[in-house]
Amino acid sequence: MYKIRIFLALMQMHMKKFFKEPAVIFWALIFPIAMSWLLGMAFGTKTSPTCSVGVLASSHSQWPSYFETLVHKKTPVKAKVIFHFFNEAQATTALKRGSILLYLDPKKDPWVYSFDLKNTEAMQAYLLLEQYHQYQPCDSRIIPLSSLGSRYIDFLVPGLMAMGILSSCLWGIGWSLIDLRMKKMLRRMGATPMPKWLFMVSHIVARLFFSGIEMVMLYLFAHGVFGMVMQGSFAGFLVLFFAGNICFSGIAILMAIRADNATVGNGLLNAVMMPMLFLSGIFFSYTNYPGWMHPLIKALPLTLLADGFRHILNEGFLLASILPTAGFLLLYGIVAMALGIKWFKWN
Amino acid sequence: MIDVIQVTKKYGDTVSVNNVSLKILEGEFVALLGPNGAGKTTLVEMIEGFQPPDSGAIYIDGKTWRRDAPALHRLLGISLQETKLIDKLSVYDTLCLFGSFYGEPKSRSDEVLEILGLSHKKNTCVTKLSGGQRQKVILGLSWIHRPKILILDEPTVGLDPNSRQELWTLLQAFKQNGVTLLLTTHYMEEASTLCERIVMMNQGQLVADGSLETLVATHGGLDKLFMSVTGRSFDV
Repeated sequence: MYKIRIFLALMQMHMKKFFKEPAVIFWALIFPIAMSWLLGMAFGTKTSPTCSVGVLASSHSQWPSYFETLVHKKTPVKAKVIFHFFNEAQATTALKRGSILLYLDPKKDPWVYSFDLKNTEAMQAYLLLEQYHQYQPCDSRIIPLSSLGSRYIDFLVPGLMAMGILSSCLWGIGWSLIDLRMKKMLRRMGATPMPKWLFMVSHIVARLFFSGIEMVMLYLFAHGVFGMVMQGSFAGFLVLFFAGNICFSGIAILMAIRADNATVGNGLLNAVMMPMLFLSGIFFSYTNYPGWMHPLIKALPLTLLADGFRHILNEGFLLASILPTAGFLLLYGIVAMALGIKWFKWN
Repeated sequence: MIDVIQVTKKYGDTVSVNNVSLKILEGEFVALLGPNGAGKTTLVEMIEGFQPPDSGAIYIDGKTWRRDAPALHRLLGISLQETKLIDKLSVYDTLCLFGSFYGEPKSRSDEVLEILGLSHKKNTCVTKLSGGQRQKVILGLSWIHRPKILILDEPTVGLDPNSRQELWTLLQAFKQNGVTLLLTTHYMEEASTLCERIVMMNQGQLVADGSLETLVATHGGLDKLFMSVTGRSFDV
């Protein structure tokens, strides 16, 4: 009886600790459900896997209707293929952006498939299409794409660069501020004549430095191992890098305005980071999500930055072309920073 | 030096500090005593400028936080309850960082290390220090800019008797510089060793204020005084 009472008292303590902390409730209950919903939207709710394929034809009329019929009805493999009709330049760009896995030219005999042989998803899409294709007596051949900017690694590295900046700023600034507040060091520093703005600027400049090192190392690695080359404007890259850092620094400061314990701090930072990591097309294209979500996804800062880096690294964008994206990122950052500094709690 | 005039502070319906007036003269060492929840920390935080009073006024050397915050930051050296130092920084780095906030040269950090008796720990990471050494560094941060007033909120809490004694020796040395000290403490011995004046708070109000000798003579000891005005023993 005595031990049961102790056990019940301990259980009561756990329950109270759990339910009296809103952040814990968010993390334990709401966040997993939200993530399940998001990922379910991307992958789970479909009755069959979907792959996007480019077709070098001007419209459906030039595309053999039997092929779509085969795809949808005759094969035992229940996979859905979405066909996009492009000219070759458009198809190449779509491939670089990760919107399609491969493109094929049905006007050629035999049909010609173009994709990165090292991209396993593209290979699966090819095999799927070939399986359908067997229903018609027609040969095909593959042009392995290894040109710069069209491989999966070319899609991945700019995304990782953007993710690196996001992560560096949110943890390096956001967590650092929360940690200082938890230690009461923020309050202690606030009781000195140190200009508060200088304190914030020092965080941002430090992040620019650390993110810069990370970018250089990642690029040198991708260049050395995978032969990746920056095809667009270096100045444009620098502008985007700066704008990305300002953007996520502002968001980090805004996230750190009040939190004074690890649970809430972690929760806030992850609540900002995780949805962007899943939605913004870092590891796979956001075209997997339903079309109605695309405008929202494209407006996310991480999407803007990742797509901007891809435009410069893979598609050869020049400085002027990247300025609108950089402008939006700066706007996000400045607004978040202004609100963050206004509401920032030193005590 | 510090003039607190009819100050009140409320949190919701709870009156934390209730119409308190207190005058501390230059060079005085004053201990602020009281049980937990008496309003000591709230009063000290208002004097330190962390929160404004709901009513009343606070003047420090004739200045107010509203008008003269930069000057007051230089005038005061403060030590907060349970402050933790920044991991990864050495003792010297920590002192230099705070010294830079006041425009002090790096040589000042060496001087403070000497005063604290921590020169041999100059390049030691703060996480590797003992509790007493860490508390000395925190005291050093408040002393880095040679403030005229020191406000220390329970500076020796959790320290062993030896470390506590070392900190007292340091504070007594500061007294030679003419500094004014306001100290909150839970240790009766600390109050009587360091301070010539004792102010006692209970339920947001000042309940006793006088020189150590007078209060001890009148009540037969600080602990008895504490018991009589609060109804609790001093270690509550």
